[in-house]
Amino acid sequence: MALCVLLSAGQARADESTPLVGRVVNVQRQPVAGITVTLTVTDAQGGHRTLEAISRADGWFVLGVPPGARAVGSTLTLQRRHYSQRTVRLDAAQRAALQEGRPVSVGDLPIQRRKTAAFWVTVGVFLLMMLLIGTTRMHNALAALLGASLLLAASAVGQVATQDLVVYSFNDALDAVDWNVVFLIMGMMMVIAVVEGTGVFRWLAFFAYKSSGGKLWKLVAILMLITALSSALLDNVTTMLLVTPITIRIALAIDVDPLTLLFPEVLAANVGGLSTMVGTPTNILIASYSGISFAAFLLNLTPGVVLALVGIWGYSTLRFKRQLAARDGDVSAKLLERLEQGATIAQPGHLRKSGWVGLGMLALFIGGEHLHIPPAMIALLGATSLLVWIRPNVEEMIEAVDWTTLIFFITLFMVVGALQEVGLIDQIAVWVSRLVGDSQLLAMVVITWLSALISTVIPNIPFTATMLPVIGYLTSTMPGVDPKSLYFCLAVGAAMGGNGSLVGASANLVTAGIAERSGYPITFGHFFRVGFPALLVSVSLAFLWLLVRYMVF
Amino acid sequence: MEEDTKRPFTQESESEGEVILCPVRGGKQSKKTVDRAVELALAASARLVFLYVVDVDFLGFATVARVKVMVDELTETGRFTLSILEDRARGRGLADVGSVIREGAIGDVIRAVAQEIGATLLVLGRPIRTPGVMSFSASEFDGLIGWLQTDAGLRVECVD
Repeated sequence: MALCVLLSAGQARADESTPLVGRVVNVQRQPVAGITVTLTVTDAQGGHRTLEAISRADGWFVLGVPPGARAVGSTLTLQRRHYSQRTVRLDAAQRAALQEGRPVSVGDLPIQRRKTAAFWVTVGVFLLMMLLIGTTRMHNALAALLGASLLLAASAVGQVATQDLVVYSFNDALDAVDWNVVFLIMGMMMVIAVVEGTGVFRWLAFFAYKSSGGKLWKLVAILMLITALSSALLDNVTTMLLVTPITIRIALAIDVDPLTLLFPEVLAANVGGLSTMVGTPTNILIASYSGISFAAFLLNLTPGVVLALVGIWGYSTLRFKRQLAARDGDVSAKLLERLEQGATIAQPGHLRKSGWVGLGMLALFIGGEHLHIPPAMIALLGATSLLVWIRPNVEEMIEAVDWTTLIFFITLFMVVGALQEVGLIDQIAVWVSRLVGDSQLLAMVVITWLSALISTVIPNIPFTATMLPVIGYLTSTMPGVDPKSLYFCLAVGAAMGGNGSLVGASANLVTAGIAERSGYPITFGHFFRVGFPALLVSVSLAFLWLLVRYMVF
Repeated sequence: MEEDTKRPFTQESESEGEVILCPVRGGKQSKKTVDRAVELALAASARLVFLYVVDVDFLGFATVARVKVMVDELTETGRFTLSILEDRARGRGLADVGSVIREGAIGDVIRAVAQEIGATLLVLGRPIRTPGVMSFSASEFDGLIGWLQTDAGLRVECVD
């Protein structure tokens, strides 16, 4: 079809030039964009001219051969950074056709990757960045900024020393940034900043205690539910920042070890965020890359999330059976009274307005697919309308935007863009493709569990950003596979994998930090002993749902 | 960050006798430290002052935008903790108990408050190692103890 369109387009210019079309593909027969295709011809006056075209996103290119021109040397040359240069000889029939002004198709032209010095530089920089982030030796934003800067510096040196060292141009690096993700996160941060100042979390947590009637298993369930719902609408880190201190105070008031309540909460936060497109940064990345809608996230992931939450609640009540059953202390009436006094909505007007704007945003997120409004635009519209409505101190609101996180995402995209540019992503994709073959079941198993296990030890945001093109490759090469199934497997693995270790999710580190400041430290080993079995339970249940959803229905 | 003004410290109170400063975070780890501080205060008929330091350095690896909200929440949690500790100390028969909450770097705050209240003895627990979330390393702790003993002339009792 694309060939017909290209040939027709060529015919429209037939009085000026004759189209020579072809498609550049890689060894896996996937289209390759940005390949410069040249053909040297001799024009009617006998002068030499080099014709040039660049392959599009679908791999096709069109060269317009002027009337009366003859191909010199009869070869097409294909070249691009990080690919081996290839020459394609035109046969006699093709050359004759061109001279007679008839369109010519050269079909698919495979081109091979080449490992340049830039490849190894990029791999080294990526590993360094992951190491710095994973070991918390450096702030994640600074590590990603360092990574992107090193790659650009290597490219600048390469421009004057050797082209093999050039990773990409500055414009290519900017093109790799997914601005939809950046603006969506920024908009949501502004809305969250208004909500967090209203005191709603203090009120909710005290409401949880009152509703539990003093039954700890019930208190754990209600707190988990509140945390999961909050993290589905806000981000997990904000949820735990606001919920952890009030949970510790409730635990102190009723003389219970706070960790008995905090562990189920943070596990629920990491799972609950999965059910919406805006609940976790990894979901935002997946949605933006794949184009999967808010409604699709909600409908296809929520049942699995509910199953996983029930599983974690059951696991937590068993894991903390002794602590939940044995309460050696007394409930402090004085502290409970203090809790109740603090459990008031500080800014009811702001909360009400945030609620209305939040509902409007939710409606647009759900209906946005049909209205063709990008999620980032909805978040920005929501944030702007809320700010105009409540007229807060604008400087405070600007300060409430976590600019370091935005810098992290921007520079992370640049680093991942470099991985794609030099061909590492292609190699990973081919490796995974060989592993799973044409089996959707095997692909789902590998993606879910590999993502979950890897996300326990390396940060899930860069991991997800790296894996997205791999999943994109698999969905385009595996026959009959529903693309959503593989993206949702990645979402489940990356989000729930965060429960496996202390460093698996930022929400874990924040919770541990607050708990430690309150006299209840959580060590790496302690978190692993509680979190890893929870990972196995929750991922198994959510994966079971995905299997039913995509293999049975 | 405002100081807890429930029991203000005055020059008069400093001159009354020994003042024991006990920086704590609460929790099981603090129990031995608090017990020891109460024991010493009872024995010397001293004033006991608990100190809770709000420090939000741990936010450095996650986010920096929510410091104010976090400081407010940790301050309220600190008040809870100190309220519990004061009640326990009084329950053991100690009449003169107070508390201070401050925001800042732990070592700096301890130095400042010790000078402000005219502390004569510092009772504190050795920090346990919790990788990834600790902001007060063993070397910083030893450095602080050294400074308090030599430069500030304080007696220091470490509880392991």
